[in-house]
Order: sequence, then structure tokens, then C-alpha cells
Amino acid sequence: MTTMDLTRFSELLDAYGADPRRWPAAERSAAQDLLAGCAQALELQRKAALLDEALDQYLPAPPAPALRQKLLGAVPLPRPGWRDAMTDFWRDLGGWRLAGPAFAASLALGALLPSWLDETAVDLPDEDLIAAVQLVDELPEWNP
Amino acid sequence: MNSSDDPDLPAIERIRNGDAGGCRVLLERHLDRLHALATRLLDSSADADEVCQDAFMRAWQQAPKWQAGKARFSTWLHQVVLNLSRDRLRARRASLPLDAIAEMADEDTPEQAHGRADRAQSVRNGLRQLPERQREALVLCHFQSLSNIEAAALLELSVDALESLLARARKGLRAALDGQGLAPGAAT
Repeated sequence: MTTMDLTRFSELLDAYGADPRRWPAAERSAAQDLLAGCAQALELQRKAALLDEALDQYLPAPPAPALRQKLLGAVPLPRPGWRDAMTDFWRDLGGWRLAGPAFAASLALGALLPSWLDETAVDLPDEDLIAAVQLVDELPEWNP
Repeated sequence: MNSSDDPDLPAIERIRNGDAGGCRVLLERHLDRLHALATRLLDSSADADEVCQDAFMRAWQQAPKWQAGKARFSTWLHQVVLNLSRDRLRARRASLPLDAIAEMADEDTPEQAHGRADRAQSVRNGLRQLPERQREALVLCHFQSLSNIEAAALLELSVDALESLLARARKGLRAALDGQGLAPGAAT
């Protein structure tokens, strides 16, 4: 356990005052031990406390309520997270009442379109189609 | 400076999640204390209002980006108020002659000044007369109850240098009070 002499104790009082809560944490215990057994240390502390008491009488007025209100008014609005953003997007689309039927209609159209296209497709003979694409010379129009 | 047990972290987390209620918590917790700090440093409640406004605007911006582990949020707020107060004092010195600064510091009306206790007014006068660094050290350690390590870090000093500043500040203040017939006693 470290001990403290009266000189160091006096320096502590000169710098930090009489209240042990303001003393450096590393030296507080040793200072209190000295204080417990030394009348001279107690007297030094009593004198230091007089300046502390004087200091403590200077209490600035608290800030006006208007300042608090002003600062609360300047609090930034909450930023929407991605869930909120998706909710807003869905609402902008009209919600379930509009977007739901539109989604169902697009699904139905997607399912029906291929069969409708099959019925309207033009049948070309496979060989002719390939020959036309490849510009095969055997075709009669290329051999006048 | 241990920040792992920073009591402001839950409020900061709320702000990060877009909950403005976190700002209200920080305001309720720190406004009075920071306003008192600025008032004692600047000797002006009106200037302290403006410093606190600037400080909390910065806090709202900083909170979502705050990284726990470096320092306590309240220590950072103290640093902001300290820096803003220094800026104001510098601006005062640059724009006004010394006589005008002394007059401006006495911003209370005669009625308000009359209503204050003599000793409180004397302490206020004594603080005003201290060199800026001594006043900062005394206000941070005595009135704001920061530890010697926190105060030394804010003032960018060693703990020994802080202790020396504090001792000179208290000695100067005691002398100022003695001069006004309000001797608070001597430590040694």
C-alpha cells in the first residue's frame, strides 16, 4: 500500500480542493488514509474546503426553456430504413387495392401469352427456313 | 479514458437507428451541464446559448457516425464546447479593445447583479480575471467534475501540468477573494 506525506497531501489540496471525489483516483486512498490519522491534514483540508464552498456559490442560471425548445426543434427527422422505404414505395403504388390486381393481371398475361402466340405463329418449312437463313445456293431463285 | 461503459451509447444507438428520441435523451442529460461550462468560460449566458446551439447541432451530426471505444461522448461534447468557447474568446479579443471586453462581461443588469450573493459575484469576478488556461482547468475539474486524466486530455496537457495550472488558478482566485475582503482561507 502506498503512503502519502503531508507535503504531497498539501499539493493535492492546492490543486484539487478538499473534496476527495476530485482527488486523483490513484492517490485518493492514500490521501484518505493520511487524513484519518493526522490532525494537521484535517486542518489543511478544512481550510481548502473554504475556497471550495466559495466556488460552489457561483451557480450560473440554467439555460432558458426557449433554448431547449429550439434545440429540440432542430433534432433531425428520423431517416427511413429500407423497410420504411419499401412500405412507402408500396403505398405510392396504391397498396394492395391497386398493385395487387395489377400484379395478378400481369401473371395471368404471362401465362396466357405463349399459348396465344402458338396459335398465331406462321409455319415455315424447316428446311426452307434454314436454307433462306444460310443463303444456300441450291435455292432456285439463286440459280436463274 | 474508458469509454466502454459510456452511458450515452444507448441513446446514440437510437439516433443511429433513426430514432430522434435519442437526441432528446442526450439533450436532457447534457444541456444544463454544458451550458454551465460555457457560461463559466465565457462569463456570458447569451454566448453560452449560442455555443450550446452549435455544439448540439454538431452532436446530432456526429452521433450516427460515433465509434464507441475512443472516448466518451460526453467528453467529446466537452471538447466541442471548450473549442467553441475559445473561438468566441479569440473573436472577442480580436474585435474589441480590452476595456470593452471587461464591460461586456458584466452583462447583468444592476438589478440582477444586486440580487446575486456577494460571494458568488466575487467568484465570478475572480474567474474572469484568471488567465484563460487556468480558468479552463479550474472549471473542468472543479465545476464539471472531470477527472484529472480527462481534463488533462481535453487541455492537451500532462497531468502534472494540469495540476500546476489548477494550483495557480486556486491561488489566484483566493487572492482575488482576499482582495475583496472575502478571504476563504488558505490551504497551507
